[in-house]
Amino acid sequence: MSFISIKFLMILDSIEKSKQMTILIFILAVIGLTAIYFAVINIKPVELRIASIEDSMVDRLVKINGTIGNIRKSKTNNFYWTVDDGSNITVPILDNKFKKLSVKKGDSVGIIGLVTMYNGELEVMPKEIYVK
Amino acid sequence: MFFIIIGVALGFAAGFIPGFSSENLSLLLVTYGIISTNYYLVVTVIAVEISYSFFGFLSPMIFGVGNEATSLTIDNAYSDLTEDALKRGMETVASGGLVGILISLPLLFFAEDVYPLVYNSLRPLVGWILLFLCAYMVWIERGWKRKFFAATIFCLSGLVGLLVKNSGLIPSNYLLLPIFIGLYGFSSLISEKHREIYPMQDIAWIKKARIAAVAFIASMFASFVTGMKRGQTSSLALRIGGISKREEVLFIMSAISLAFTTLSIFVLSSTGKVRSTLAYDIQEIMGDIYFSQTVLFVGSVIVSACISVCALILLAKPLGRALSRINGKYLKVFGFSICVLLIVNFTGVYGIVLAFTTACIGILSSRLRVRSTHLMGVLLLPSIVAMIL
Repeated sequence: MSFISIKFLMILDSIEKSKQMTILIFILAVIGLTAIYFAVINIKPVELRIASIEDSMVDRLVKINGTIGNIRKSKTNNFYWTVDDGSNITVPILDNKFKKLSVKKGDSVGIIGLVTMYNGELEVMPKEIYVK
Repeated sequence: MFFIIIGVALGFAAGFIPGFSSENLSLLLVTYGIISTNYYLVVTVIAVEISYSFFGFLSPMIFGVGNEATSLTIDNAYSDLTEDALKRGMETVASGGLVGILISLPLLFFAEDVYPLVYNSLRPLVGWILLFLCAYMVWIERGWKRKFFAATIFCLSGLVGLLVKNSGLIPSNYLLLPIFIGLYGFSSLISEKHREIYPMQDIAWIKKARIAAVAFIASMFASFVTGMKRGQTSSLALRIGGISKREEVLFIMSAISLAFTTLSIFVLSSTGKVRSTLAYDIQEIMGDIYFSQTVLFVGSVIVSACISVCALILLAKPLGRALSRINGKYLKVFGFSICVLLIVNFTGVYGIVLAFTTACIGILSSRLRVRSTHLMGVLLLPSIVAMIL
């Protein structure tokens, strides 16, 4: 199958180096980008409690609600929130847009993010944060 | 020592498979846990990465197929070399690589103090520095038409990065696999580039010293700036150092590739920040590393480099002879098949869609005759957005 694909793509590329062919490849790239966009927006986060987040959920998009139990600032100016809903999990705040949020210990937040593992610890890498 | 030799042999084999890279190989080693002891696994991965930093230049030189670090050789240096020129080319890569390691070694003793200090001072500015560098890379393309094409390629690849970063579409460990195979592997496997064969010329010692100084400054700078990779660093060094002769391009690219990889271990040790695939793998396997471990890993880098250089010099002539008899097209199909299998296995259908899209963007950059380093927008644009906005 890959032999046929490479042959097809080689033919596609070797057809006269015309503007039309370049435009066609540009259109294919845009179609691919559109497909990726729709695939990404169709990934819906699973709303769950922090206690139910486990190792097998790494790379899953989740939504958690809770209060900020602790805010720690690292030497590299990143923030690490501990979000608590009975159990707790670390939420690393690396993007500047989240660093600008004015939150304090005890604030209620909703976080949509990706479950990741760093140094053996589970974290939620935020994509969206709602301060309630 | 046994694991270093295994790693060098694997890196050597990967260098011959067009479209395949050390990142893919390391990924296989880490994922399948073929080597169970962490230290041995790290040493093997280091040997793979270091030897590939040398042997990775074989594929662009012979078949005209490069990756993030070596694709510039196709734009600016060599591809489709004759038997004799290949031997000289490999010797240039070997000497450049050794110089790269030598210039980075003294920093080991200052890394613990210097890196955190410089890193913290630069951190608020890194987003703007990256933005400026990307704009500069676009600006140095000749003519308004090419500047526009370069900006388009940068934005298209950046859009891919923005869409898939932290999206959960593809497991984060394997996210870069389809992206890089598409951008650099598939696109150069498929695309028929315009190639010329040039005779090799010697580089004067005084010139080599100047190039080494440029490589040192460029690698140092890149190791402080998040998102900068070997390709952009080389591209900037070529421009700023006024390096245009083909053998000098090969020399400095090899030096930067090895210096960057070595420095990334120092950065990981002193700041905990990941600057290269090797650093990523080390962090995945070991977590945080200490100074004593860093010294051990640097020792592995030196031994791996020495073995790789000996192999390059000893094998240069017979390899050139043997490779001239192999049909490059079959090897390209072989490389393509391996890459497809890897993508399907680790990332599924979405990975194929991603690789197809990035391959189209890669082919576009080749057709529009702009530098392949603009494709790194895939990593740079998301970093810039995260740091500035």
